Amino acid sequence: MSFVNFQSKEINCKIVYYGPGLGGKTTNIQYIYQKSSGENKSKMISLNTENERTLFFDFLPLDLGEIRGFKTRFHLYTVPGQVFYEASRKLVLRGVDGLIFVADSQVERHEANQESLNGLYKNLDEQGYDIKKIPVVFQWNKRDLPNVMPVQELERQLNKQKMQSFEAVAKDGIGVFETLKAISKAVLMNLRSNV
Amino acid sequence: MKNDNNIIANEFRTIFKDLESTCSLFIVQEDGTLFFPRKPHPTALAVGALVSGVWLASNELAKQINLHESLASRLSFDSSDSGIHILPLKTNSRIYFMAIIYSRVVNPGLVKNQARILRDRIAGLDLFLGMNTEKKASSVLFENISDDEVNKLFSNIGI
Repeated sequence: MSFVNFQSKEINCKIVYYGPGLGGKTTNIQYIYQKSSGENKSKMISLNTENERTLFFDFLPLDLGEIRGFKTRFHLYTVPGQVFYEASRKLVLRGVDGLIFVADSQVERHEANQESLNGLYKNLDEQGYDIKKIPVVFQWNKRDLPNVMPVQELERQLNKQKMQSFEAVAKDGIGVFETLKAISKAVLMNLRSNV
Repeated sequence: MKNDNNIIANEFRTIFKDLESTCSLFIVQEDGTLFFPRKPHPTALAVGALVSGVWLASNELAKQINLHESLASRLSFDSSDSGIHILPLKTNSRIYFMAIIYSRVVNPGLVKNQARILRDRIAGLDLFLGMNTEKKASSVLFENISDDEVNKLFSNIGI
């Protein structure tokens, strides 16, 4: 739920990275954290298992500059990708303003992508969200690996609404900022003055 | 006109008096957005996300025993002299979470009691907690944001 404070002219928006386990959600925000700088750099929080898998969420607040007189802050979250963390994923989705679906491009992960995307739609629906009203951007990650599906096939199978999408190699930062900026723009343009 | 943050800060000072130096107050939206304190401090923002997360997770867990969230619910994680105490706060028809983080206090029970008093006081003030108070028709806040504007926004953090 975006938070527009007209008293202090501040905007807070929540962006969630969603997708199958080991798809690169945490890698995306780790890269953003590593590359961000300046006095406004915030701390990244990761609630992980012992073997570095996301247990509940990763959180990275981004204190950005002003847009048309409004100080803007984005709160980036990842969900845990592993199948049995469904309850946690639902909680992280509360109040979401924009979604980045990070798909693993490898052929053998296609079912996991599909399952995760179906879960996303189901979780949003159960919480009363209208998927058509929430900005979503797709990221086809791990494009550097040998056994990847063609992008056209990923688009056809997963991006049926023809949302904006980006190819990425998140571990090297390729496509990471493009994806983030695209969802940020979509979220800002989706803000209503009566929120 | 005093803003909501000043009002809350004054209430906190009044009710916590001698405890003020050992206690910190945070008010958080359900989605983890920190409302109070509003200063963009890295740790404070993380506290917002964690307070919301721990409350929501506990609430889901409590449903296993048919314990349902109400304004009487509270959540504590503490030792004999330090801890975190979270209460739900309903104001302006919305639920927030109010967290008191205290360290090295002689009487933690008093902290929790004062937290409840503060929560009730703030709820009674019916503050808007920064929500839009302008009565406008629903309309898009920004139209036609350019890529340049987005790039400029992110340049603030070196991206």
